[in-house]
Amino acid sequence: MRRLPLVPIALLLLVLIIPAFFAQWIAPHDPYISNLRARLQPPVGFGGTWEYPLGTDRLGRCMFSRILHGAKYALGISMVGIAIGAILGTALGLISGYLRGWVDVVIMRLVDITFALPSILLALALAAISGPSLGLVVLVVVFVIWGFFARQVRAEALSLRERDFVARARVAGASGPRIVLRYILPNIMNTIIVLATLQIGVVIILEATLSFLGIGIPRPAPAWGLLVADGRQLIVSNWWISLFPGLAILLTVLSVNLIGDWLRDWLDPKLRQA
Amino acid sequence: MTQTDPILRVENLRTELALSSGAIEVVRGVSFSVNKGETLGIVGESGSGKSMTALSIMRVLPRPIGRIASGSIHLNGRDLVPLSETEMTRIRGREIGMILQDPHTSLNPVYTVGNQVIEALQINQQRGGLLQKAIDLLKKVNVADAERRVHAFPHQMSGGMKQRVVGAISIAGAPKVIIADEPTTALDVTIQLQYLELLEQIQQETGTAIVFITHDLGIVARLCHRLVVMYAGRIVEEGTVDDVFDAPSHPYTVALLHSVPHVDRKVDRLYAIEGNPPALHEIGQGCSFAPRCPLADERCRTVAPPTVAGRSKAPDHFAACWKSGELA
Repeated sequence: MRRLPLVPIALLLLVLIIPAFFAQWIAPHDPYISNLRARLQPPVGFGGTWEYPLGTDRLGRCMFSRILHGAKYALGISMVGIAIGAILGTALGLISGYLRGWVDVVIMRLVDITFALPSILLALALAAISGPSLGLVVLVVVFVIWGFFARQVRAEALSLRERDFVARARVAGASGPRIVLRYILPNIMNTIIVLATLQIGVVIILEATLSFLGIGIPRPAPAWGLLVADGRQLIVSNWWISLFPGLAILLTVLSVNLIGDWLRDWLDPKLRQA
Repeated sequence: MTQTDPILRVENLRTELALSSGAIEVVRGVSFSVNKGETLGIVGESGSGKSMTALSIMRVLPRPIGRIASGSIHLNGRDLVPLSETEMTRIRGREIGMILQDPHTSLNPVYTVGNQVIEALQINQQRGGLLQKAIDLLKKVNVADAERRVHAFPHQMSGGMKQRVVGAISIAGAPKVIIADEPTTALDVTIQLQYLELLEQIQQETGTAIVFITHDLGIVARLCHRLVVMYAGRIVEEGTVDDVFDAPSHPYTVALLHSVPHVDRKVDRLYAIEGNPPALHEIGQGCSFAPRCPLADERCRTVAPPTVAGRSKAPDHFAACWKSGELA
């Protein structure tokens, strides 16, 4: 069995989880208050001071504080979006795999359609109608990820429903819902957990992309994608504005993926015994 | 326990599988009955339709390809064939139970065995003191140290233990009939006898009728009261175990009995029936066994054999054969 991935876990705590919950106590400045006398301060080590460790943006807002507060959006949206997407996708995948027939065909074609539709374009269209909002981001996240869950869960349900213990449950008088909830779902739980973990990275990047394009979380919220976008025009002269939020995204996604890989091995009984 | 009022009566059952090459009939007009407290053996080679008969009775044929084409299955006087899936769900486990072949895959790997026995009790509307009831059930099927084992997971148990647990689950609803589909095939030989004794013990305590599906004639002789011999989806001989073993009246039964090895007889070659069972889509008009039968003539190959009295002349001994009288 592979050892607990301590470095990714520490990184994740440091960059995402602790800031998401404790930003208001850790952050040295209010992320929304600008200090026009301290505009475009460079970070420590590049001519800056410890007053603004990661420098300031065009309005003189503390980048360090903004990144810390931005973690809330990354964590919140990925948790809510994945929870809804996973529950929806799992439910539809179970129905699809257990019932088969035309229900299966309809649900799987829906998955194909959502995979075929460009999600960014969809978000742009929706944002044009209703304006960017938190709800819209969650909606797009759910739209993008539910199909992964539905497909994977369906595939496993199809194989599990042919297993002997399901046949035994049927001849012992178990009803369809009971078989799905007690015999199929618990045996797919590992897969769902691993898939959800691996989706966190996808969702954080998606949220950052939407925010970067201005169709995600509305300004002046310090979502990481927005922070990267803010620094885009000044990237040559004031590189730190984009670099540090980008680094936060990179480290978060990297550590989440490493933890997901480890979790997949750890939850697999065959690999665990080896 | 009268002959006129059997607990399970199957009449002219025909079951089809819809394959891509067309529908084939895997059970072709099977009729038999089982009385309360009786053990009926169903014997036949692989592909003879014995398991399909069992799945038809339980109404758990492989979906969506399997279906009962015609016939009736009366359980306690009620025909199961026209019942809906919801109604069948209520009957399975409570009125008719089943034990599957492989205990290693018959239990849900994510729950303790106690949890699964309790589930079976819940399905059968039992409430309160379920853990104790589960322990009692495990004791009933001779699981040693049941108080501790009730908390064990299936992968922590041996095959024999698991098959006992499967047995406990199938008797949780006190069904009137238990269908056992080769329940000892996957067990060690040393455990097989113990398991058969357990089934007998359960039957004596509860009066359950057992339909025992097997290809092992030794088990039939040991456990069953009556047997039916199936070949290519049909019953070729039926009778009490004593009558059929003493006076087999169908050439196939004769060959089957002949192919059982004996410890006390030294032979150079074990007897095997020549040829293979027919592919079910190739069956013609005549007797299905004719191509492999040493006695077959032109009539056997072209005209379906009649049901005749068995050579024992007992009133409940029958065979489907033209040449029954020529057997010695």
